[in-house]
Amino acid sequence: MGLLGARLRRTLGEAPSSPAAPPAPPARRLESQLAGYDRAQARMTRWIEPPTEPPAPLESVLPGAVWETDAGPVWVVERRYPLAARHGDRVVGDLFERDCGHLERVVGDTRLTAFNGDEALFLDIEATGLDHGAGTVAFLIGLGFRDGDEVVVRQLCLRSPGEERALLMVLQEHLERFPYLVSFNGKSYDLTVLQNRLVMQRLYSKARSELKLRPHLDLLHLSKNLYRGIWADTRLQTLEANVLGLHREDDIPGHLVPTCWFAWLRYARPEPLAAVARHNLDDVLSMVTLADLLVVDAIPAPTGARAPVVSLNLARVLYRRGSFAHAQAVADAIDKSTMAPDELAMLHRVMADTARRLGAEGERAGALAALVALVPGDDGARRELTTVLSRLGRHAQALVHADELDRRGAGAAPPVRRLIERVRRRAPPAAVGPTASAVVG
Amino acid sequence: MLFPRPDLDDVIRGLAAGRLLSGDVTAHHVRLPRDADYADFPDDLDPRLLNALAARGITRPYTHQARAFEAVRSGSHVVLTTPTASGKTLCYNLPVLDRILKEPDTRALYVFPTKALAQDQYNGLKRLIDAAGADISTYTFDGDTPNDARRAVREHGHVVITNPDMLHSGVLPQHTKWLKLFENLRYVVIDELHSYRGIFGSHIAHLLRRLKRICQFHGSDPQFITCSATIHNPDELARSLVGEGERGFELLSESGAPRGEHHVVTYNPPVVNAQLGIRKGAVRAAYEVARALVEAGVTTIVFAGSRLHVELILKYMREALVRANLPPELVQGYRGGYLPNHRRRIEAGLRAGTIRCVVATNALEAGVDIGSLDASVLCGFPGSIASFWQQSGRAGRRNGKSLTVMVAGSSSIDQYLVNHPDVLLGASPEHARINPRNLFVLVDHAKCAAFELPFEPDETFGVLDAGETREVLEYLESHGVLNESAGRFHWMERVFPAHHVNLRGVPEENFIVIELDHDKVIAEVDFRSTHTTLHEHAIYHVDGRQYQVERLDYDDHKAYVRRVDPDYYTTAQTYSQVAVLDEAAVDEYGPLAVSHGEVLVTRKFVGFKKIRFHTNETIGYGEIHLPDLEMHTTACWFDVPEVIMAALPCDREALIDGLKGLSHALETTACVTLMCAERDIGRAVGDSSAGATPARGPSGARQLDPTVYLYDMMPGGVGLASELHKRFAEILGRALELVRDCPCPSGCPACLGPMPHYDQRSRLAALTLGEALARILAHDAPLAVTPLPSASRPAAAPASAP
Repeated sequence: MGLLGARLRRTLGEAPSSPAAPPAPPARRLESQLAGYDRAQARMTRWIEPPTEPPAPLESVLPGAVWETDAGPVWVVERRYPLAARHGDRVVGDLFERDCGHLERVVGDTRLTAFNGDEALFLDIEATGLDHGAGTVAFLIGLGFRDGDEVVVRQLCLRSPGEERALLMVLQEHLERFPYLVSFNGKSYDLTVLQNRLVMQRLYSKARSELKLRPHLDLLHLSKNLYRGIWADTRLQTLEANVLGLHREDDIPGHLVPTCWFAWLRYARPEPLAAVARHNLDDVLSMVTLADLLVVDAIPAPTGARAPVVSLNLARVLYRRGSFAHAQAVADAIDKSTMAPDELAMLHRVMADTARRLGAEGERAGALAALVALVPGDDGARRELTTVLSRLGRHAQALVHADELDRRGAGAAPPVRRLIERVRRRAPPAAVGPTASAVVG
Repeated sequence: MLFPRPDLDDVIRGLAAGRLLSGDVTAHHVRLPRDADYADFPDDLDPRLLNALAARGITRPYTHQARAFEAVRSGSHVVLTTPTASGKTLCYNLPVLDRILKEPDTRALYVFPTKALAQDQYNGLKRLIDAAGADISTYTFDGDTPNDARRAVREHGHVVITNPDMLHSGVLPQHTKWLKLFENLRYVVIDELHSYRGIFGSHIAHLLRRLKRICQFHGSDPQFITCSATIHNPDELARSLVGEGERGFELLSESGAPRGEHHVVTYNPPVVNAQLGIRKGAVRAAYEVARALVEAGVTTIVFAGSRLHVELILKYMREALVRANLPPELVQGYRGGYLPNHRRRIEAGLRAGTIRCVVATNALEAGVDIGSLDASVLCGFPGSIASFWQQSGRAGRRNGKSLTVMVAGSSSIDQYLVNHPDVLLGASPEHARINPRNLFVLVDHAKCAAFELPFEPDETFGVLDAGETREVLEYLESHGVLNESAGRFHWMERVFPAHHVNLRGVPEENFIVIELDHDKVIAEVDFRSTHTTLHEHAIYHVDGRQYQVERLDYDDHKAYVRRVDPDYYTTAQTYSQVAVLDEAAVDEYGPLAVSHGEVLVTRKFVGFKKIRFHTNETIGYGEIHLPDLEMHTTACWFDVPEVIMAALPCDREALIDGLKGLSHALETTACVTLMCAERDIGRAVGDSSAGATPARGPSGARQLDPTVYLYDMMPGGVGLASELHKRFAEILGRALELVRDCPCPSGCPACLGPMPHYDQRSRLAALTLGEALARILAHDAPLAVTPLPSASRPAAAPASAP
């Protein structure tokens, strides 16, 4: 140790005998997961202590093979599953039987017009932090794809930082083989980190590796669109538990993932790296089965298998994307009998909106009437209904709603006042008088 | 019209003749006016720029602007030190914009110390670009830049204007997203270079090394164009901040801009207690000068050293206006934290004549343009020669006269300088010191750099050689922060290091001040000031109004105050203890050892005094219950061993007082000798035999080896301690002169510093002790110490400046 080193140790302190404890887990919500977390935490505490015996060789815990590249070796772990294999409740090969032509319409991205499972590369990285900075390293890249009658999950593992260039070159080979990327939140996270890494390793060129320009299906965005409001959130593990039928055992919680790699680096202890690989494997397979589920749930036509609320969400997203006829078809077919009132109101709203865009004023009036019957305080809808009825020449009905608007005090706003007056002028005298409750839509 | 047309000549004559003021005008210095020196624009300057300049009446550049253009074009780094309002920004804007017009891929990065300055600069640059009709994008990039705009700045900004903090935490760690900038970065402009001194400067030195490291990675090698106010060593500072390179630095200090006649008057307030040598307080005296100027119709800026003084002068000025049936808004306060809008209102008010006077802290010293005023009044020496000239330059016009009055305070340095005005007016401004070897700073930036790019084998970092760099990296590896793989060191933590490194050296969170009656936040106070200004029962001042602190929630960083109208204000009393951590070097002279090294300074907050407004008498005391503050820094120290003490013909109590007085004189002359600001050096007297306990023990009851510490006030130190150690004999010699030459009969605040009481015995003890030490130093003399004749009575008249 030189002079400066000695001064550093004296003034800034000696290295702690063991590194700092892993960070505390995030606040917990579910009692049942606590035990799992405790177990993970206990393992972690063991892993970040200096080992008392020589660590096991990597291949004995995480079997794989060395791939040679121009930039040196990289450790690749590969698992193959027959198409009929199950992951949770679902079959991993189902996606590859599906027609995915409709996805483009639901996602709103024309680059996905010819999307199909056979040409898709599923991608999920494990990195040293959630930050997007230059120092955040993707140390494990999980890739999933179809190879003949098997689904392959190939994991590129960084055994040491020096192998990163080789790892990225293998990644680039895969990116070139598959025209489509599939990820879960990859648009804002995985691809940003990978793009940084390509720059850092001088492998980046705008034409070849601008990852964000590639056709990309981000399952998080689609899940948010189709499954919003159903569970507390649409994180992958929430979806696994609720729709994929997968319950992970002794999974490494995400916030401990960086610590695992650091533990591997520090003590060459393969167990933490293997635990991350296991976590990543589940992520990749879950993406494959989730993609299949989403493809089915996104079919822009009536299907019996879909939950009403999912159909409602689909109708809303189709409406937003401008597919009004599909939105209407999906909405019309929904079984309203089991829907909650707020869902029903939303359904009537989207039906009214699609009818308006399709020029079906009669249907629009019907949907709006149903809406105000359900939510009598929705003055905006009632005003719209009044206008539509008046335009359709159904003056008597229009008058009922105009009177109701007036009674509720909505006439204080000048445009509403003018509407009320106009409707009253046009209404046949005989129709004046009945109470609002006597006439419905 | 409210005010007479200002007749500055009349005011100046009155001041110089002593008619306006009751104290002593010790110097009246006139700087003569000078005409402009013009040169020509380069032949190939883009015609769009020529037209834009012509449109604002600039047809020929000043000589320094033309020279700057040539220097930039020649490819060397540039240091500009021309005065305020000399057209400095054109010196860099012209060559940069011209190059972008010729090669549109060119990128430039401008760094200003604050967001406000960056915004000012952006506005000026944008006007020039628009006037030229040029297709050049310029953006500010700081914490206020919205997320969706950041992408555009990264992709399209030709000129990106930012601040060091943002460069540190928002640009460098994200350099992979700034490819376009870093691949094409040709110019880095660093204005207000002089503000990057001390610990801040040490951080900036590393920040700029990190910047250059990233540029190198992306294949660019930018040229640095730097601008500094007048300091002693601008080119040295630029070199140590930017680093030596093959380009070399060209220093441009000759200004071609015209300037008006400027008068500087140094003023010592009248003696109010001849026996104790106490003069009228500087706050009071500065207020009287400012009032006289404002009454004469002269627009005036008053600078005070602390927020408290700003608030006091503001209060006195406003009271005077109210007595004269004038609106108090004619005087405005100005200090750090005022928003740009507020500033523009003050600026507009000064132009319109609705504001006649601004009372400011040194926040107004740096580049912010508030227009030109007739006079500046300095309430006390601002702590450095460079600041003195900066503040003085706030008054001044390109044509017409201006005036600066420096009102001396009671501190030794003020008294020394007002009585030796040739030192003040003739001295070279200070050295701006930085210490990139400060361990705290070094290690922090090594972490940030490792996050940005792994360290290559044999890479050198900043001022370190390859071996030292490796020692730092290995140290970080032993802490699990880095990982070595094939000789390269990689970042290995999940945290983002820049978020944990504060360039301004104040990592602690600010306190907010809440007014209880309206439940409203009225101010924000930095952590270290909290202990002296927001303790319970403190009187806290905002905008000339007084509040009493009712409750301090230390853990939550909140102070609750209530509006009061007291006839007193409070000042906190603190004392410091020093513990030596590591002795770096020691010089032994017989029994006397002078050392320097690393120390831990603990500042304790013991109580506060209540002081009556206007009269400044102490009318009460209170206690402060706050945790100590600790600072790790460097110090120079010496023990006075018992053998020396015992040999002196003074009693023990007088010797302890004498030693304290001598240490005060040492602190003063240390500042003068090293040309550093008074606030840069701290002092403590301790007892080395008892660790870090204070010196004042039972008189003579036990053996004492008192130790005098002079320490660097910057955490980690900026290199003052080793300098003090090296020049200790010289500093001691000057301290002896200071005490010996002081005209007071028995010690006073100006020579021996603040003491509970002054008497002939402690003054004599200080001299006897100091002379004994000086003789030991000079001759390593044996301990046959006898009182010297010169020490037995005060000198008759002040001697010349050391």
